[in-house]
Amino acid sequence: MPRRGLVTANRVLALSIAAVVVTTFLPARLLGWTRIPGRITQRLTSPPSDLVKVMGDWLVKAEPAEHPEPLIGQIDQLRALVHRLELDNARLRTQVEELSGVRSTQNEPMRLLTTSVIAGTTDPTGRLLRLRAGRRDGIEAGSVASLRGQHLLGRIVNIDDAMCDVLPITDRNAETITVQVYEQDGSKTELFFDLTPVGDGTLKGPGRYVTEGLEQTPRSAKIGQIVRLSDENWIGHGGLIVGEITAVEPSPQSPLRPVITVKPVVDTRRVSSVVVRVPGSAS
Amino acid sequence: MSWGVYAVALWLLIGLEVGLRGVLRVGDTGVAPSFVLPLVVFVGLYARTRVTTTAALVAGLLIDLTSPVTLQGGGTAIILGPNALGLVLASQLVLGARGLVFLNSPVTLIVLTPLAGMVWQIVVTAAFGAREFYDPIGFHAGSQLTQRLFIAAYSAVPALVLWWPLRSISTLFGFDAPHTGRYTMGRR
Repeated sequence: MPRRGLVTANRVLALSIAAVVVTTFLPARLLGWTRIPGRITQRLTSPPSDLVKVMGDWLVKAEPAEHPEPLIGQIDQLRALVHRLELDNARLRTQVEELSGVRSTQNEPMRLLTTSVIAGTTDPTGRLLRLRAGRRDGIEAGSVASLRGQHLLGRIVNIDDAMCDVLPITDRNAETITVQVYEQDGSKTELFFDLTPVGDGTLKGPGRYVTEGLEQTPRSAKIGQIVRLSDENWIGHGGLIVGEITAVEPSPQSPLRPVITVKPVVDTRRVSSVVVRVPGSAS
Repeated sequence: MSWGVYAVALWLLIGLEVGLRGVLRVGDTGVAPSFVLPLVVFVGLYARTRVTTTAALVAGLLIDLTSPVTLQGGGTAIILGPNALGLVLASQLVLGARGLVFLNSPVTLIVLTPLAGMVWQIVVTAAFGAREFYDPIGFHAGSQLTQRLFIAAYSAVPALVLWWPLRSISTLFGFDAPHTGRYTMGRR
């Protein structure tokens, strides 16, 4: 009876399962090598998912990159522009006082690139979105994705030549952002909040203290008000709509300090295409 | 089993799963059915033990590779393993159950899919939950488990839809496990 070799199918399978057990519990910093096979697999699986998603988007009327009503989209765009110019103005005034001759990065032109969403991840609870555009289209890591004209979607986190991933602001691991509250008629208030994603598609956070004048705490925000991005870490993207206030409650630690819950106006999981805003590129 | 046919079926079903998620999602939740799971269960019903385990491992690895998780601070990482382990264990449930069920009935796939899905999702939740102790990614095991068990239950719907197409191409798969000898693959 012939002796069985050292390498048998059963042993290879057992070793593969053992290796998978090890990688399951390896810290993420030691799993950088999985990016390349991941990218290849994502590219290989994208054709059927892309095709099916196009049909699915048509069925559920997914959010387009531009507002379906051109006039409303234009109004949103102009409001955001005014807000950005105000931020620019305030920033420049401060800089002129402090650093004469320094050029503000906010004045750099912004390139807008419309691209389609290929698919999300196969993780059912994940919120990452994969775009059909990458480095060869001029997208850079850290560029900002928006939809329906002026609604903030998130930041580009993974990028290769042909594809990139957007980390939506509602993802549980997205960064905290500062927003400013606007009245429903479009006029702005002096209320600022630091919003952190909760993980269920909403953002929640406390108001900032008003330290000028007699009023030492923020005035209360109201349900239905719109909040717009007003964060110095997102230079050049200020004024993008983050969402609508859906709840206002007192902070458990400080009852005079309101905590708001904000839900994006557009469903970030049902998106067919987005506009990627690349700073520092030629218009 | 013909691995080429399995690869094509897996490729198409991954596409269906990702592409139709927006359409089949329940409200604002992340609950959407898995199309890959019924395929793994179907293979588990007819293929040899080692082939079944390998097929589940391959499907799980494919899901892991296409599911980057977000890290605190904004980065992403591909955690290779949770779905692979989950599907391997789920396939063992199918292997254990297949001697007790009617192989030629669609009810078998419809019932076994959510059960196997529960095993799969419990393993995934446990793996990510354990990782939270030393490599946190903001994974809340309680809420995730609830959501994932609903996903397992919802996967019965694609199982119902996929039974007939999978059954009709079962001869192409070339299953040759001894236990299927008492059935004719062409019989409905």
